[in-house]
Amino acid sequence: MTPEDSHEPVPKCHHDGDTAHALFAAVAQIALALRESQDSIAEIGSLFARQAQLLAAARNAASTQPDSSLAQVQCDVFKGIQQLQFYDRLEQHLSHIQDYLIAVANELDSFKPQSHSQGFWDALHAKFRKRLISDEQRGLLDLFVTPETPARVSAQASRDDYSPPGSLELF
Amino acid sequence: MARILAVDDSSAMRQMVSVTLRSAGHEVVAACDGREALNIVRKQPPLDLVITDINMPNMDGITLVRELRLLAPYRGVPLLVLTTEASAEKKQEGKAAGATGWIVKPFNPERLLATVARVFV
Repeated sequence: MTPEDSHEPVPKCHHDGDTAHALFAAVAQIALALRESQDSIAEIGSLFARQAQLLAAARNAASTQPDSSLAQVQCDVFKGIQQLQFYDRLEQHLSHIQDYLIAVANELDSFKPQSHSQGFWDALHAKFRKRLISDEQRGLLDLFVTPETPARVSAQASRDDYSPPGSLELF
Repeated sequence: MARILAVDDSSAMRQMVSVTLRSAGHEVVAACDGREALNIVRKQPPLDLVITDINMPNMDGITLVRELRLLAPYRGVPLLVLTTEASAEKKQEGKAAGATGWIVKPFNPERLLATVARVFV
């Protein structure tokens, strides 16, 4: 007899503790992925540093006449520097996701879970939302957070509370 | 040219900031967190500018800004925050701590150099 034939409810395969362990496993995998990519990213950073040194030396050698190819290399180095910083943003984003997953896993693993309390989830989502670093990330979270929660406040008002990437303000 | 302290826990970010600043002839000293930055400033003659990240282990950037402002040689030194943190609340916190400006990553190298030049005016 299969569970479908039975009028009995299908037994739960996973307990909260198993779910918590699955989340901890996901957190550990994220950490490993970040660690595994760090050397490569550092190497790319070193390559830019070396290019910049060579560029400075070439500039000194050709000090009398401006060289357009050197200007192009300088431009490429600066573009590379700007683009490489998206890895830093990725690290930040994943770190916030890790913290979020750990909070959920701890809650599921707790002997006295507060998860029956909407307040717990509201606070957790609000904290997560606050730490996300782009409108797109917050918008994506909002798709999964119920409209009743305080975390999903007016999207426009929320956008006004955040500066765009690359922005600069002197006080 | 200025002597600048760049503080970030990411080695790649420290390199990116250093390469950018050195390309304009600035001298750069780097630290991996607020605690190391404070150790450096206590041992060296005052630096001309500090550029710091916010989220770092041991000591975060806001605390570093606050601590630097307590040191007499750093009361008037420009302190720029360079971070992924973009919320108005966090920015206000930085301003209250004594930061001179707030730059949200990824920074544009040319704009960073222009800003560095501007804070010295």
